[in-house]
Amino acid sequence: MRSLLLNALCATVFAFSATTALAADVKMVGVVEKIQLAPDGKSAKATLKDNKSGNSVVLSIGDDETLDKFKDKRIQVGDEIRARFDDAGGNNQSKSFRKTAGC
Amino acid sequence: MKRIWQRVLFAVASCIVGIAVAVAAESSGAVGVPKSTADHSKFKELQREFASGQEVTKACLSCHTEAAKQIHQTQHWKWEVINPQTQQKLGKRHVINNYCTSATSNFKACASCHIGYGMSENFDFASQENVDCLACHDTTGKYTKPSGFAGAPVTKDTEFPPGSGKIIKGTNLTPIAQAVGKTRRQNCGNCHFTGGGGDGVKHGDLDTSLEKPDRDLDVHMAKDGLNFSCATCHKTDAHQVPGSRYAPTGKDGHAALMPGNPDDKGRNVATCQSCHGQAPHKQAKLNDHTDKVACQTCHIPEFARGDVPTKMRWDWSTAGKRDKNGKPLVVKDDDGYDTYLGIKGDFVWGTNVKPDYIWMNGVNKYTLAEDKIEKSAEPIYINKYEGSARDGKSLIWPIKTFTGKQPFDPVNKTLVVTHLAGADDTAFWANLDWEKAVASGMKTAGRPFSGKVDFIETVSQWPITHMVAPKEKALACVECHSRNGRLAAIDGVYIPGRDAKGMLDMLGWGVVLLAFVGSLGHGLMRIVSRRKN
Repeated sequence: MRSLLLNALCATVFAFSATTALAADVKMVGVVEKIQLAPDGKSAKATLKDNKSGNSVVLSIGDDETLDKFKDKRIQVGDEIRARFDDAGGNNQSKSFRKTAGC
Repeated sequence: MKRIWQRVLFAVASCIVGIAVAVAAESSGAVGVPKSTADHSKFKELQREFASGQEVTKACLSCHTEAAKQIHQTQHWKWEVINPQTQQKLGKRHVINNYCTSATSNFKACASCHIGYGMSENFDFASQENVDCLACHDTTGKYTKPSGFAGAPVTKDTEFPPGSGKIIKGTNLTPIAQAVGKTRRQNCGNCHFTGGGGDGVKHGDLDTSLEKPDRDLDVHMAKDGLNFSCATCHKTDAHQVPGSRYAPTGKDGHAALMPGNPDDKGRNVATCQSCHGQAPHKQAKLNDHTDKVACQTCHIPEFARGDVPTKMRWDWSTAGKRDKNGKPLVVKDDDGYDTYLGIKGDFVWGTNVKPDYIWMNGVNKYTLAEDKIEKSAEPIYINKYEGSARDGKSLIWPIKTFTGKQPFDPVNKTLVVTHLAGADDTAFWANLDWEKAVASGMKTAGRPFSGKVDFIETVSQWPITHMVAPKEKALACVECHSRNGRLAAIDGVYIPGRDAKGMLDMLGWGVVLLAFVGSLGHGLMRIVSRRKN
């Protein structure tokens, strides 16, 4: 029984450390190519063209503030965005999604 | 073994219950009790369409009858403040800085950050309906005042600039008006996080990273910590917001604020001391510092720590370059930040910047449009905080030192107002013509202009007071108590570890040597006398 508990503990620790190792914040600046709002309006996918690499990157958006900006067209196709996202699991979950523009 | 499992199960169940209770309490306020005494969506005055911001204000004033009169007395409304020590007329309507230089002549753009509608050189400061309640009381995050509309929200889809094909989506003011509430950090941040023309540009200790900071970035505002809003410290009284860099409190020598204490009347409540008093540390030795060193000096080790860089230098003299298509040139660094803009010149950005340190007593002396300046006296201080070790009013403060090179009139020997924003032919951002832009700006400002433009090195100082780190991240003693430490340039005070005074040091070492020789002699005598016995 004791060895079973020990194994479970090891597995848990390993699982947590693996998750932590895989999760990484990625920063990028790019122009919005496409915005797809989910039918329920509670999430969205935004495609950015990375200024550096020229590659298109799809980000998952879940925060209300950014979703409102999509709905109100305060962020739209053609806007340049400074984004930070978690690329763990390939989901590219957005943590920050803001226009680069100032006055 | 069974008991172990029971304990594990009990612990897991307790955790789940605890988390559930915490989440429920967090989402509901406190067990279903509304936080506000008024649900504005139920007010008849707000159940209608609003064609303009002024219409919303009229509705607000129908209940809050004295609010506009209070607002009229504030710096946020007047964009003007008379410095109590120098009597200089300061505020956005009067100062010239070394970022975008001046709001005057550029109100259509800059007034996005005015708490009024329709700001101009001839603005009616007595108007009640032009007070913008939503700028500070919007809780939806949907209220915006786009650049180019003199501080007015856009309520209908509008092509801007005209003929550009770019549409600014109209904002529906009704749901915003129905959801007004206490000022949140986003309300303040809309302007104060983006001062100088972009996120983090101006202050260094204020940027959008403070919207959801972790504890390391700001121990007071951390979402998972104390979760202060700006107004927790900048607690208003009749809409007056305490705490201003135009006339800061250099040294707050009072104890912590006590409700009802008549001695606290008129105090700046936005100081560290107003909560923490004069002896906040458990170690008495640390409390010995509080009469000389501002709390911020040790507790804000660097500014721009939230992964948002701040501008450290702006050289306007290089502006004007165009790309191969004839458009103003844009050069960016690896992180996508502008390092050169044809319309603005060269920039230097910084993150995790160590502050400079000065004695500061709260007197802030500005070089204003009417002050004579000499090229031979470069750099010209746009503003300079006064203070010394001896005046009894100063503490050692951290500051951001921002340098620039900006246009001036070499004949009249003054700083100049430049017309930057707008689609007209005299706006610098439209035509890249300095003479036209300065002539237009100076005419609007009612200032004389010789027609000649040259550039001059300038410096401005910005007190660092936000982004307070947790105590375990405060500066270590050696950061200051060492030969080339952070306070190497601070004069008028003896800092052990930094300072050496020949005679005093020699005397001290002499005493040490004497003590050593004395004990050695004493020991020898004891040995000798024991042998004799």
